[in-house]
Amino acid sequence: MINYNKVTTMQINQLTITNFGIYYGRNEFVFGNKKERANIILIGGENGTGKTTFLSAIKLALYGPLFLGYKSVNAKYIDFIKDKINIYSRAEGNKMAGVEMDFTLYNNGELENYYIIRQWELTKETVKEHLQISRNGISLTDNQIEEFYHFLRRNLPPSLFDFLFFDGERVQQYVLDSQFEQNVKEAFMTLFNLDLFDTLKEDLLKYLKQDNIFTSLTQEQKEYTQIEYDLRNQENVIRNLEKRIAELKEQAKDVQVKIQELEREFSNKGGMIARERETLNEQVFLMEQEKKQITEKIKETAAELLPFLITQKLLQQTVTQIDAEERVERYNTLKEELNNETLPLLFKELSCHFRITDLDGKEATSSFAEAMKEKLFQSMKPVGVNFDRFQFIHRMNSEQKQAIRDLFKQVRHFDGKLVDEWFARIQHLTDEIYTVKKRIEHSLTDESLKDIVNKLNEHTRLHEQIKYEIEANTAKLFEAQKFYQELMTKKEKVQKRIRQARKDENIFELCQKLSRVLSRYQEEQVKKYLGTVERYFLQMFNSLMRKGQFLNSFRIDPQTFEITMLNYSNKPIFKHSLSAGETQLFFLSLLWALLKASKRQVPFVLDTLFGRLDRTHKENLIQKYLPVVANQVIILSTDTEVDEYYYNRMKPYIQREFSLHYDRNSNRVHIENHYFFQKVGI
Amino acid sequence: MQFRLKTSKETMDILKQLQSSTNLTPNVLARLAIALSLLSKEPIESFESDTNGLEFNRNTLTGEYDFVYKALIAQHLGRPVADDEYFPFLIKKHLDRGAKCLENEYKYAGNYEKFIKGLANFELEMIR
Repeated sequence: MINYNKVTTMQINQLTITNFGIYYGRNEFVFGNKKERANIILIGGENGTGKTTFLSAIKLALYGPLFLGYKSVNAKYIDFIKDKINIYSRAEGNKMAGVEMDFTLYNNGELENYYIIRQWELTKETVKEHLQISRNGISLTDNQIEEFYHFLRRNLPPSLFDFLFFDGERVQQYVLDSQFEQNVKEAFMTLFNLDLFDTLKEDLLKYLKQDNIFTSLTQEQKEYTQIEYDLRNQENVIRNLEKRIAELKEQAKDVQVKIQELEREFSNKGGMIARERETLNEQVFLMEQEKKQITEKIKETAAELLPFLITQKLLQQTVTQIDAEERVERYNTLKEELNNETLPLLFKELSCHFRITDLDGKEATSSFAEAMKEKLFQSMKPVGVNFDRFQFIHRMNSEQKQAIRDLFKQVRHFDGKLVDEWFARIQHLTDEIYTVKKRIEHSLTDESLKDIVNKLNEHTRLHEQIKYEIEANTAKLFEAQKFYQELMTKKEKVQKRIRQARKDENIFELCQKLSRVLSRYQEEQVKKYLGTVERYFLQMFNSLMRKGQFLNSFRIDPQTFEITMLNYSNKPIFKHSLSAGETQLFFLSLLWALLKASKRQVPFVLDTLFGRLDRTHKENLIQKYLPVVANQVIILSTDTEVDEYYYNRMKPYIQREFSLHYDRNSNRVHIENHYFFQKVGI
Repeated sequence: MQFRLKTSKETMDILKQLQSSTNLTPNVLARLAIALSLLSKEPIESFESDTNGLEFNRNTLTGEYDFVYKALIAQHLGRPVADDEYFPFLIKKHLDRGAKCLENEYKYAGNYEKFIKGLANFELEMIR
C-alpha cells in the first residue's frame, strides 16, 4: 500500500565515507544534536578536498541507484560506483567501500531513527552492493526496504533534494533555464503533497478498470473509461514526445553553434594556411625559375664568352694585327692607285697649264713627280707598323673584322666578378628555396587542422543524427495528436450517449464527480499555498536586498508557475535582468518560502554561497537568512569565501564545524573538527 | 674541307670525366681546353697525340666563332694558317694539349662553381 504520510522533518546525524572518491579509509562526520539552537554545519575545504564527494555520499546513501534515476542496481550504476572507489585503497587490494548514514525522520509526529549502510564489495570484474537499513534499531526486511524506498521517492525524491541543494556557481544558469518553472512546480507539488491528487485520480481510474467494477458498467461507460484511460496515456505520450523534441532541438542548436564555430576556426586557420602555402609555392616557383635562368646564363657564358675571356690577351693582339693589316692594305691600295693611274694622269693634265722647272730653270716635271710621290707616300705610311717585317696573317673580310672587334669589346667589358655574383645569387636562392619548402612542409602537417576536421565530422554526424531523431519524433507526435483528437471526438460522443442515459447514481458517475472535485480542490490548494509562498518570498527577498523595498509584488501563476515581479513603482522586473548576486538571493528566498510554507524541515545544503555576493548581502544572509532557513544547514565553503570575519559573524549559529585537508603523502583526507580559523583548544 | 676531328683517348677520358662533374657538354669543355692551350707559349706544332678519342663536328665545336678560333690560332703562331691546316690539324693539337690543362684547373678548383669562377677571372689573375 502507498503511504501518503509526508516527511515533515529530516535531520542527518552522522555520515561515514569509506574508500569512496577522494576519501581513503574510514572517515566520519558527526553532526550536532537536535536540541542545540545553532543550526549551521560549516564544512571548510580548499578546492579538491572532497566537498562535492561529501554531498554525493549523502545522496548515494539515501537513494542508491535512484541517484542516477534507476529503480534498481544495474550495469550503469555499477560502472558509476566502480569509477568512484578510491584508487589507493583499490591498489592495496582493499575490497570494501561504502557510505553509512544515520538520520532522523519526524513522520507525522513520530520520530523514527534510520541507519543506512550501503557497502560495495569489489570483485575482479564487478561491484556488488550490500544494503542494510534499520529503523529504530531493527533491521528492515526486503519488503520493508522496498516500502521505504517507495515512501522516499514520493516524499523526498532526488529531484526535490537537487532543488533544495544550492550551488552558488550555477544558480543563475539554473534560474534562467527554460525548465526552471517546471522544476519549481514539481518541487512545490511534492512539498505540499499536491501531487497526491494526481495519484489519487490515477488510482480512481485503475479502480474503475478493475474487473468487478468494470463489468458492472454499461457498454458506454466501459467505452468511456477505456477512452479516458487511453487519453491519459496519450497525453503522457504527447508530453514526453514534446519534451524530447524540445530537448533535441536544444541539442541541435548547441551542435549547430559548435559546427559554425569549428567551420569559422577551420576557414580562419585553414584558409590562412592555404593562402600562405599558395604564396610560398609561388615564391619557390619564381626562385627556381630565376635559379634556372642564372644557371643557363652561366652555361651560355661558359660556352660562348669564356674561351675568349681566357684568351683575352691573344684576342687583343689579333685585333691589333687586324687593324694593322687593314691600314697596310689601305696604304698599299692607295699607293698603287696613285702611282699607276691618278698621279701620272694628274701631272699630264697639269703640264698643259704649268711649267715645272728646277732651281736652274730647266724642265723638271718628271723628277718633280717622282720626288712628290716619294714624299707623299712617306707621309701616308701607317704609323707603328714595321714595313720591313710586316706580315699579313688574317686577311679578313670587313664583316669578320667587325664581328671580331665587337667580340673583343664584349670581352673587355665583361667583369669576371659578375660570375661570382651569379653563383652567390644561386646559393642564396638555394638556401631560400630550402627554407620556404620547409615552411610548406610544416604547414602541410598542421595537426590542429586535422583535429578541427575530425571534430567537425563528428559534430556533423551528431547533428544529422539529432535531426533524424527530431523528424522521427515529430512524425510520432503528429500521429499521437491525431489519435488524441480522434479519442476526444469519440469521448464526446460517448459522453453524450451516457448523459442521455442519465445513470447518475452508479459508481462510475461518482468517480467522475470525485475526480472533478479533486481537480478543483487541487487547484484551490495550489492557489492557497502559492499565496503563502508569495508572501514569504516577498518578506525574505526584500529583507535581504540592500535596496530596501525592492519588490512591491511577487506572483506565481498557478497553471504555468511563471513568475511575475513588480517593483515599488509597479513596473515589471524580469528574472534575467537580475544580477548574479540578486539571482542568488532570489533563489534562496524562494527556497526558504517554499520550505516555510510547506512546514517541512529537511537538510539544506549551500555550496559556494558567498561567491558572488557583496558585503551587505553577505551580512544580510548571515543575520536574517541562515538562522531561520532550516533546522539543519550544511555550508560548504573555502577559506576565502567564508573568511575569518564572516566566520566570526556566523559563529553563534554554528553547531558543528569541520575542515577538510588533503594530504598528498598519505593520499588521505584529514577531517578536523574545527573550521580554518578556530584555534584548537579555545 | 674537313668537318670532323678525333681527339686523343686521354682527351676523351678527361672530357667525359669533366662532363659528369660539371654538367657542361664536351664541346663547351673542348672550347675551354683550346683557350687554355692558347695561353701556352710552347710551340704547338711539335705536340703529338693519338686519334682514339671523341669525334667532334666542326659546327658544334666552334660554331659561329669558327673564324675567331682560327684567327687566334694563327695569331698564336704569328703566321697565316690555311684552312685545312687549322682544322683539324692545329685545333686538335690545341684541344688535346688544353684538355690536360683543363683537368688541372678543375682539380685545383675542386668544384664546378670554383672552376667557372676561376676561369672567368683567369686573365685578370694572369695580369696580376
